[in-house]
Amino acid sequence: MESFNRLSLHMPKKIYQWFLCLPHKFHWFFVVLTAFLIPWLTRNTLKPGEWYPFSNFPMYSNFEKQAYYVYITDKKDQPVAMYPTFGNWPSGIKKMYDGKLKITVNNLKEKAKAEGKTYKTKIVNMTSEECRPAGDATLKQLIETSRTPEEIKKHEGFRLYQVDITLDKDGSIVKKPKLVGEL
Amino acid sequence: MNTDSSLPQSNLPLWRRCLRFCLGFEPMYHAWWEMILMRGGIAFVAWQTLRGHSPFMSQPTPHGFATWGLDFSWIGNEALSHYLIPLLAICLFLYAIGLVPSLTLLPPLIASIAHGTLGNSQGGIGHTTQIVTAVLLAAWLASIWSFFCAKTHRRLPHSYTPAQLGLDWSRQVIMATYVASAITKCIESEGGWLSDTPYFALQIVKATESAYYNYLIPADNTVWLAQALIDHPTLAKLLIGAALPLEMLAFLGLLNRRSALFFGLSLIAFHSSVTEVMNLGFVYHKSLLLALFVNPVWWAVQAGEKLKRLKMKS
Repeated sequence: MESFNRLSLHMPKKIYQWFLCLPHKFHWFFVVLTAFLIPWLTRNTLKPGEWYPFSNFPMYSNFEKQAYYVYITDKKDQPVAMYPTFGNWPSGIKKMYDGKLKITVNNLKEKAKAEGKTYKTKIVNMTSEECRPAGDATLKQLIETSRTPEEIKKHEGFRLYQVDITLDKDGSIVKKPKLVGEL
Repeated sequence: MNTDSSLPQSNLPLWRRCLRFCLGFEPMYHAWWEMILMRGGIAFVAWQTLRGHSPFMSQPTPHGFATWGLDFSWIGNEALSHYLIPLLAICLFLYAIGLVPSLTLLPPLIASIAHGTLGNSQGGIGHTTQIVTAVLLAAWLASIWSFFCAKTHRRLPHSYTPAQLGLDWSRQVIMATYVASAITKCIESEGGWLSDTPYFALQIVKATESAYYNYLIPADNTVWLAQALIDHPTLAKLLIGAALPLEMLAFLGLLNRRSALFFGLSLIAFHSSVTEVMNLGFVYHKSLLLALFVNPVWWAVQAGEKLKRLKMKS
């Protein structure tokens, strides 16, 4: 017991001494800043942990049983090359849509709450109509902020498709596209 | 972790000698030519991210410093870029030759933050250039710290020169990004990251299909691998799960040149496998690891000198 007390008394001092001997203090400062402090400070934002140039690098930190990607077609449902047309990569456009979809989900939750219900639908189970505000807003932003309006003008309009990737009962990968935006 | 030099090496048991060889802390003191090569590597990578104006011109969803009202759309201004880009090239060249990094690194650092913040203010968060900005920030902070220490008559850590400290902090920040990423994996998945790795297969499908819609050019078909990971979850845990300890222990790559070489090569191999499977480039990560950790020229010089000594002996 006495030795335990002695150890507990000396522990803070030992930890402090150990910290002083730590050879890479800047490294550990940056780890604490990006993995804990920035996520805590940005906890109420749409993207907690992100404050350029600081990030907690959340890519592939949580694998779910569903995923999705997006693509854009013209009015005849012919796929459009996304980078030359909009100046943004498919992954960037997907993240843009994802951010707007989260706002849409929050709105649906609030609407359901006002009606005394709860909204718990997963993204893959959302209908085309439910996703529509996010899809339309994404296309609108892409068209308005494009650096290549001449590429945009080549097309009568655009459609945004969300392709849900899931596993069926046999464990086979299944892809289901749905129209989520049109302008 | 400091090397205990009071005991002669031969008196130590084999396991301790091995441990010391692998994980003994030996500050990396670089020769002038090595530092020019390393800073040149950083400057070259930074130049790849700064040599054009941003494709974006507005901040529809302000991110980072833009949420404080700062407007970074100037980095997308084509007219301004005619003056800004040559200035950045001159600054990066002066940094590479070691001229006043506290001043010469400032314009590239601000431009790099502006590029990243404007890109991330479009509604989605990208991480492609984050490591480059972090390295520029670390090198700049090291130069400021060196200046402060010189003014207050303090010694720099491990008796480094200001230039050596700049490279040391650059290395430290690179490994911090990997350790932070590993911690986030553990937190976000609530400890279930390894058991969920078979579902990584869905991310492979997502990345492969997305890559096609860039330019409508079919990407390498890795769907067979995705299905294999679903069908053989233990294989998925072994293949993908190896990334977690590699990232979590990345700080060991800061201890000495041998561990830097090991972790540098391992992380490059890890990124290369992700490039093959997911069609994600990681060019800046790989380039910085090559310049600052693998440091092939130094190893080539060491090998040359050893050969010379052997020839002289024989």
